[in-house]
Order: sequence, then structure tokens, then C-alpha cells
Amino acid sequence: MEHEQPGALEGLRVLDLAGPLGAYCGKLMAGLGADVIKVEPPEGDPMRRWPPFYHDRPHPERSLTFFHYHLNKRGITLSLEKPEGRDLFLKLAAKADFIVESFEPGYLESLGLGFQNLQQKSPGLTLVSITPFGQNGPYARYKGSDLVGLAMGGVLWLGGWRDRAPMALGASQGSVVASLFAANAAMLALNYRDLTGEGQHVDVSMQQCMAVDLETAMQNYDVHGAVIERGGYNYPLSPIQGPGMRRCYPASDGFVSILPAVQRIDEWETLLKWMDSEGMAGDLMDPKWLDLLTVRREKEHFEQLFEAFTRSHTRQELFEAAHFRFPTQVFLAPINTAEDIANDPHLEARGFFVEVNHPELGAALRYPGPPFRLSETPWQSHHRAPLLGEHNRQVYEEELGLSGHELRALESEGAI
Amino acid sequence: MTAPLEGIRVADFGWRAVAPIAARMLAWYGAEVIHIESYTRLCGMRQSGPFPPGTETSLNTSGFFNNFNCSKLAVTLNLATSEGIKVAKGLIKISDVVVENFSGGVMEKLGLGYRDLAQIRPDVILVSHSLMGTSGPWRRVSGHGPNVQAMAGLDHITGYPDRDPIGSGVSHTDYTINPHHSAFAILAALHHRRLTGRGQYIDLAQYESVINATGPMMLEYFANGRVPGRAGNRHPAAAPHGVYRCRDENTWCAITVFADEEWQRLCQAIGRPELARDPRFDCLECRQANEDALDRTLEAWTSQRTPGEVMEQLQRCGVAAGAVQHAGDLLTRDPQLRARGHYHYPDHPEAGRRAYDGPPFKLSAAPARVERAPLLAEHNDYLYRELLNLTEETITDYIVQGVIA
Repeated sequence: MEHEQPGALEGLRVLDLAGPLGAYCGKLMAGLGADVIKVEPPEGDPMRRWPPFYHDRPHPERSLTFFHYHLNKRGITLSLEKPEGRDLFLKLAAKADFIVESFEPGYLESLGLGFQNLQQKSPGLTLVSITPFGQNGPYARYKGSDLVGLAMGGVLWLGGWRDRAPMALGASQGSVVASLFAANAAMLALNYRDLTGEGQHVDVSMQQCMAVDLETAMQNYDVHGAVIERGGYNYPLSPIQGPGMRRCYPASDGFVSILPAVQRIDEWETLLKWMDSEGMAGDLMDPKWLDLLTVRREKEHFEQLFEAFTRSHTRQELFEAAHFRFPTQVFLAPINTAEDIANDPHLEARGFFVEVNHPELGAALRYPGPPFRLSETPWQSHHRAPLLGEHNRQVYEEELGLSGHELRALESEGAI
Repeated sequence: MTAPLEGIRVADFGWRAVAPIAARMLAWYGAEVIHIESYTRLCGMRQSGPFPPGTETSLNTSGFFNNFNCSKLAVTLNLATSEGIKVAKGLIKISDVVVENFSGGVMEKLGLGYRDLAQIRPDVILVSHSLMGTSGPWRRVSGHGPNVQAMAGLDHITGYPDRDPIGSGVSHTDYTINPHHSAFAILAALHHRRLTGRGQYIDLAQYESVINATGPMMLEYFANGRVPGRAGNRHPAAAPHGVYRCRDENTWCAITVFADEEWQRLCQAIGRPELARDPRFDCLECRQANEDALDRTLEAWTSQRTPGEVMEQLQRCGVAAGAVQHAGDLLTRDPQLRARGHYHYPDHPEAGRRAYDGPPFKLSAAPARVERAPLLAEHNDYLYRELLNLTEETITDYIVQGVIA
């Protein structure tokens, strides 16, 4: 049934020229029904060469990372370096609502394809530019990568162990977040166009996207001139946020993560009662442990007792007791692996994962389902990522009206 | 100048991080966002620091709260009273978007579920941001960002392979992934409503939202039966790819090399052209096979220099490198953020001039509006007198009865 409801972005056309930094932006738009055409150079997007590969066999049509970030997009090849390629690009741009790109600032202008030129031809077009540092400023032309974005944006400083180098978040969060903010900005531009008919240039900086991720580190410096250090075992949260203790503890079958007292003292009391109900609270029932300042001062003692407690249970036992045994919930969660998530009964009950057919692999692959569920315009996961140049014929012949002869000529010139 | 969300009103029932941050995106771009709070159930953020010295007992000066609630209006209303619910419905009737992040099921219990709201305001867009979504066996499980990160697998793949997980330095998904998945969905739904006149219900389960941000990990398991683990700062398609010690204590620089040409340039940049011909390092697979030796070689060079010198010298040769900056660097030294105007310093009657994050992007035709955060209850008069046209008598009664509280 879901397939019959239109997406919120149905009827909008996106030319997606973005590399890995911006790949998730187009995916989000495709998920809500926009016609997103991935425009790759003839040699293919670099992400096609990123591991992991399907059944571990490296091949440009088997990158699982590429699959994930290009679900639901169509794909064509086009060389902007060739004049014929640029002509085709302009024809495509005339029919597009958005162009998403992550080239170095100034590159499109140098080809005569800058925002001014594009807008003259189609005033409603929005150009979404995603770069490591933004379009202007002294670092605008600096090279970036996910890790460099995390470093320059201040979030890397806060991650990891005191006795080792600062440590990055897993799963390319710099690019995911930059793409996500770009998608927000694109939607703001769309709402603006709904009111005025005009497109605009959206300029996203990955560095700034990471700079909004600093919790209270920015304000602590602004207010106190204090630099929050990375945590080692301890989470660098401000004093009133509970006892500021170690976050991750071993269970009998993996790890759990806990925030012992965030909003109210009864969260903490519940945790102590829970340990006591199993005879594992040690001396923690002494009233002095209800003073969070005591806890902060003597947290290693608590941590030792709590670790002995968590070690004596599975993650599932801890999770269920934390959330269902007492009137107040304890904020404890299992540190899940991909396998745990794949077999999670809650996600199963919600029908979260979706199957997408890959005829070339002779298989249907499972993918994460919707990041959010819209009741009227549901998320769509209809078709796998495009093969390189898969829709050249569809787009160039059927939509732009090129003849088969012209198409072959363009191919042999390396324009597509 | 037209703002993208001119004429849009948002009732923000959110507290703490996710829903208020989603609503902040709308406030930056012209929506009138009314943040509903209550003295009887204070948002913990108002009680969390950092506070400017001497203002620790104020509910209006938390840097944590203010940064997330800039450009909004603030009112107090006690939803634990039936009159409070009636007033809330009055506000919803004149709102376009309603956001909330109670635990799953709480809004229904209050009589403010989507069905109730759609009767009052048929084209309303209601957005829930519970941890687990509004269905499923664990829908009542509540928690915070770090719990979500753990469940969605991010903690398991963040860290070093030879050590236990440690979590992340910040509650990352609270400030980025979840609120901005939500804001994206809201903005798309607003566009759809302009075209069709139809509102809708958006159920964002934070757990599911974050799994989308760690997606390739899931495909690796489903397709290859392998469970990805922690890889430190390394990357499967790059080498070197790491964080290297610089000259002074606790100073670091990130360096990443994906293509072989970049490696060649790096060797030139550090004055070691012979390394480019070293068979241990002349292809990605070779560099990955010898990554410990590679990292030691590079660190011998970085440890003689400051992060700024490393960055500039490598960037001059087109190699991606960046100083590991802390918040003080960002606020006071980084010339790029200054040129971009990332921080805003609106004056606040109790907190003074404090730094606020602006949006991490620019729209050429629609500048953002970054205004100071509201004081608790600052806009009660505006809501109750101007918008809802309540009589003086009713307002007095509500105050006495603890409804406006």
C-alpha cells in the first residue's frame, strides 16, 4: 500500500554530482520521492571503490557503502571536463530543481557552470554546495575529509582516551552530518521557492556542521575560558548533570552504556535500589550516596561495584530490568553490534528493515528502513543503487531526445 | 526580505535536546517557535551549566539551554492540569507544526495524540521523537542520546580494537543526526502541505534514525555475515588516515590520504621524496599492510611541528590535513570560522553577550536569524493575551490554579 502514496518530494528533480562528502543528502531526498539522478564521471564515483564489498569481492558494482548511500537514485555518467559534457549538463540543469555538488569551491565557475550562470537559465534552480570548509574564507580551498572535518570542527578533540590520540566517531559521521544539514538547507530553499519562485545557492561547511556537535564545550570556553578535555573513561559533562562517571561497562555477553542520573535524583535512587535488590549494592545504601557530590568525589568506588553487578548479567537482562522493573526507568542500554540490531525483536515488530532486489547479484539485500516515518508521504526504498551509467539511455535518449547515434558519439568522445 | 518559513508557527513541547534543536532550525529561518515549559517540570537544560559566573541560580543563563533555544519565544503552561491541556489545544489550533519528545505514548495519554490534534487543526504536522517509536514491544523505553548511540551500534564501532568501547565524547546524535533528520522531514512535509493542504504525523524513532547514519555497518552484516568492530582512526579506503602527535603536549593533527597522487604529494611536502618510491608504501594496499610503520614515519615528522604548521605545509601541497582544534581554538583563533561568521553574540539581559552557534550553512537569498534565547515565561503575555485572547480574569484564574505555571 505504501508504494501508492506519493512522496513529499515527488515531482522534484535533483542532479546529484556530490562525492562521498555529500552522498547522503541526495539519498534523503530520494527517500521522500524526489527523482535523484546521480551524475558520475565516466570512471565512476570514488565511493564505488570503498569497502566493504558484497561477498568481499572488490568491484565497482559491489561496494556496500556505495549501495547504502545511493539507494533509490538513478545514475548517469557525464564528464564536465569535456565541452560536450558541459552542454549536456546545462540541458539537464534546465529541467532540475536542485543540483547537489561537493567540488572544490570555484570549480563549477571555472567551467562556466557557476551559480550565476545556472540561475540565469533557470531562476528556480537551487545549487547545494557541500565542502569541507565552505565557499569563502582562508581555508575554503583546503582539502578535507571526514576525519579532517571532525578535527577542525572541534569534536575530535573531545573523543577517546586520555592516554591515546583523540579518536573519531565511527561510520563517517562528518560526511553524514554535512549531508544531513545540506538536506535541511535544500528544504529551506524549497520552502523559500514555494513563496517566491526563486532558487538560491546553499553553501554548507562540514567544519561548521561538526562545530555544532560540541555539547557544552563551546559554552564552557565562552563563559569560563575552560577547555573540556577528552574523557578517557569519564564523560566530560557539566557538573549538575549527575555524577559524571564512566559510561560503558562490561556485561556477561558484551557491553552496556548507562547515564546514571540525568534529570532527577530518583533515577539514581532506583539504580541503587536495583543493585541492592540483588545484594550487590555494597555500602551504597548509606544515605551519603544520595548526595551526587559525594558520588562525584568517590565515583571509582561506585564504578567498581556497578561493574561487578553488570558483569553478572547479560545485556538483555540488564536492559529489561532497567526499563521495566521499577516505576522510574534507569537509562541503560546495550551496546549493540550489527548482529544484535539485525535480530532486534523491537525493530522486527516495527518492520524496520527492508529488502531491496539486486538482480545482478542474484540476491535481495536487507537495508535499514526509514529514518523517520511520515504518515501521508512515506519513505521509499524501491530500487537499488544505480549501476555505472545505468540510466544514460533513459535520460539522454528518452528525456533529452538524443539519437542512439549521438549517444554513441558522446560515449566514444568520453563525454559520458 | 522573505524568510523561508515566514508565517509558520511551531508549538515546541520538546525538552532537553532533540525536539528543541529540530525546532531551532525552523526558528533560525523565520518560523515563530513557541517553546512550552513549566516551572512544575523544568527542562533540565535550564539547570545545566555552564552559567556565567554569579548567575548559577538563574533559570535563564544556561549556555546549554540558550544555545539550543535561540530565536524562540518561551511560555509556561502546566500540562498536568486539564485546563492546561485545553490551553495547549488552543495554541495547537493556531500552529502549523507541533514537536514533542516525550516517551512513546505520553502525548496520547494527555489527549494530544495525532488524532486529537487533527480534529483541532486538520492540516497540522505533528512530530514525535521518542527513543523507540510509537509502536513495538519497547515503545515505552525512555532514555537519552548516549543510550541511542549504544543501541544503534555507533558505540560498538567507535574506539580502538584493543580496548573496550568508551562511547563518544559528546552525545553526538542528540545534536546532529536526530534533530536534523526531524527538521528535514518537517520541512519536506511543509512543502507537501503547501501543495496539497494536507498535514501529517511524523514518527521519528531515534533508534531507527541513527541506524540510518551507521548504515554500511548493517549491510556488511546482512550481505557478508560479518560484524564490524572498532577501527580507531583508520579507514578502509585510505592510508595514512590518522591523528598524529605534534610538538607540544596534547597537540594533534589529522591527516588523510585516499589517492596515490596524494601520497606522492605528501612525500614531497614532508621532504621525503624517496618514500614515494618505497615499495612498502607505493599503493593503498601496501600502505595499509604497513600502516604501523607508515604512522611512525609520519609521526616522526609531525612531532617536530605545531598542528598549524603541519596543516599548512601539507595543505600547500594539496594533502587533506587539519589541526585537532578545541572549542577555544574555534571561538578565538580559527580564521575560517570567523570569516564564515559561524558564531553569533546576541546580548541577553541576564547572561550578557554569549556565543551561540549559527546554522552551519548559508542560504544566499535567506539569511538566518540568530537571536538570544528567551527567558522562562518571557512571552506569556504574548501567548495568553495576544494570541489566545484570554480575559484578564481567566489569566488570573489560571495563574492561581497553577495552569499557567
